[in-house]
Amino acid sequence: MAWRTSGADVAALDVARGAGLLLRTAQLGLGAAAIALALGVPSGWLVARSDAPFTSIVRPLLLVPLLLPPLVLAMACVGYTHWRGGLATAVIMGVGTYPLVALYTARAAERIDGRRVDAARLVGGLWAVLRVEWALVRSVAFAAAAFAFVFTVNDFAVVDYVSSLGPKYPVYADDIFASWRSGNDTSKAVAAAWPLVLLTLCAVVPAIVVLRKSALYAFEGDFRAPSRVQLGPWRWPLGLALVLLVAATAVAPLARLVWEAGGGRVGFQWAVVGASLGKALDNGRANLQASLLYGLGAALLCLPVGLVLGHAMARTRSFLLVGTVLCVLPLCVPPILYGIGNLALWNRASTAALYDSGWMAVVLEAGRYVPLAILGVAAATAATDRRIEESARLAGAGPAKTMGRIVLPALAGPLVGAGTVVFVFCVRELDAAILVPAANGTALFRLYNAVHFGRDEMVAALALWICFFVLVPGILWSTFAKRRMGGLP
Amino acid sequence: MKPAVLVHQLRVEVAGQPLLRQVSLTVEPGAWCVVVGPSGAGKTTLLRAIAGLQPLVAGYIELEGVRVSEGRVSLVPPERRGVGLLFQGGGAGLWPHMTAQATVEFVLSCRHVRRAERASQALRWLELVELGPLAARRPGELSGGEAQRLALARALAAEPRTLLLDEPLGPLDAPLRAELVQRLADLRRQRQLTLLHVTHDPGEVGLHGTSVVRLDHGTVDG
Repeated sequence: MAWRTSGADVAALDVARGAGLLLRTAQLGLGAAAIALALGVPSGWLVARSDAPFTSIVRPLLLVPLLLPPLVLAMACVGYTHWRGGLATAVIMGVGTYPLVALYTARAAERIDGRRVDAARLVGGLWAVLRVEWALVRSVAFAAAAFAFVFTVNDFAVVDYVSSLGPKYPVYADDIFASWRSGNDTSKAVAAAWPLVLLTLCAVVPAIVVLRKSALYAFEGDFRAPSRVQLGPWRWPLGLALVLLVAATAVAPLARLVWEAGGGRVGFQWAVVGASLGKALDNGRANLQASLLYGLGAALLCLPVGLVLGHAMARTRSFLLVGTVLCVLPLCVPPILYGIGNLALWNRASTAALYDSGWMAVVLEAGRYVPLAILGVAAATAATDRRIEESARLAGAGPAKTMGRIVLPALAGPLVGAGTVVFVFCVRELDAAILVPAANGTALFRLYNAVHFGRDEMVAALALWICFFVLVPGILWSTFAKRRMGGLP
Repeated sequence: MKPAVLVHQLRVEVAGQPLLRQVSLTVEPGAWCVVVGPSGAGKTTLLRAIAGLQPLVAGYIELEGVRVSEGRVSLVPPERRGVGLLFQGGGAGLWPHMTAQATVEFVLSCRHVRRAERASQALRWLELVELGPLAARRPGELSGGEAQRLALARALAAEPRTLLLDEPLGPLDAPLRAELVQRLADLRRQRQLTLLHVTHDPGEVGLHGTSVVRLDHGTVDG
């Protein structure tokens, strides 16, 4: 008996396969979000609200896993453990995104009026305080976890690297890439991507609504900062738990790279670490320069756009939600799709000069991360008293003067913060850069290629240099932004 | 009879700056004591110290003969002192995510009132302050006076023996002020409550106060 396969059968098979991949990708995202929530909520609350020891040291270090490129976390995870496939990917992405949950939890907890906390303490002590605070921060924590979910389901490089070392673990982003590669067909890639985009929007839109709402109501009336919660006998155990968490998620990945740069299994020597770093700097100088220049260019490009659009968004309530969702789209669509879109847009005769130059990488990165600047400025604007602008306008200052003399100084701190965040995210950009030739000269792209061909001291040393360039500005921002969380969308 | 509130040689500092210096005060049970002083005199700090929300540097506090704070040591946690606090700023300190009903039920749950009884008890407290019809509203949906009454219901639901009032009439207009003062006077009489009321407005002294203390620059005058 002969079987004949019809086009409809193939289409049905593709749909079933796509649905299976989407489900697996969603499960992966949920796993990472659960890890991010489990680690982020207690750590964020402890550093922001409790009298646990070491919080001033832990707080900036808590940011490290978020700043580190996920590929570097993946290198550490597969180096330390034998985990592969979905488990490894969920852990890597969960660890890489839990600082986001911690940051938002900390910010939300610090914005609870002290009188609300005191009232709870008077009626029921520590347990009542925890119940009231959890009720007030949980929506924000879940919203941040939604972003952890989004970053995980759209990731390509980590799952690709982990799959290259163990059993193949295909996810939906692979399918988009495969659809595009079969004949460089943009429309096929877009058609393949829409279920993932829809899944992303389902997570992102409610998250944005929650974050916006929390950012706005936090500054009502005469705010009284809450005093730190006394943990009593739990103070030291919880402080030590925080230190252990930072050691495992921030210090251990870097320690692994140092160990590998110093010879690793062959025999670790500090002298080899120095030599490897020197060699990596010599060999990767052009790549590191490209990463830093593209990142700086993109950050500078994003700042004026972020200032004008972010301010306008915050001051025009009716446009706020729609504007925010539109803004977040380039950040939340699968980076692979974003890269494909840039190829389709710029790879043509009329824009060949741009496409073939390094500016293409700047445009690519700025376009992807400008939402961070816009949302950061919008959040800072919403927290600034509108009356300072109204009084300037009443005094006769025009819009430009009000923006330059009143708004800009008031938002200078958050603007620098937003620029720093954009710079850091540009330097650690990989997924979209994989597709665009102009961005193939970055240090992270070189590292991505190198790890697929094995790991040695040079590879580890290059990873350390990348970490250095993302951690220094990131930790400086975290230290100086302190409670104001300037630049945090 | 032991004083409802006894404050002895109290000293409180924040960031090394003294906010209260050697403040002593006695409030008899059932009294309505008014503490008057200008802004920055330390009135709010005094109430917070009595409630156990502000650590002391020196001196001691006794509530109904029980020493609750001595020097830097808090002997009784705030929730076991039997005091309620009406915060400055109208409805400030109300929990924005809870309805009026849920707010009072929360307090009752902290007092381990059985779940089945909480709804009816909460409604009784709300009716006491004439907020029964607004039980389903959140603080953001209440007017200034209504929010103040919800704050009062929340404080009363914990069944305190002493109620600390931090500028309670400040944000209210004249009719609402008169209404709240009358309500507090009735509650004091019906429930034998001791009231410790701080204000910057000397005009409030004559309303119902049974004793007056003047506080200025962290010290008690006279």
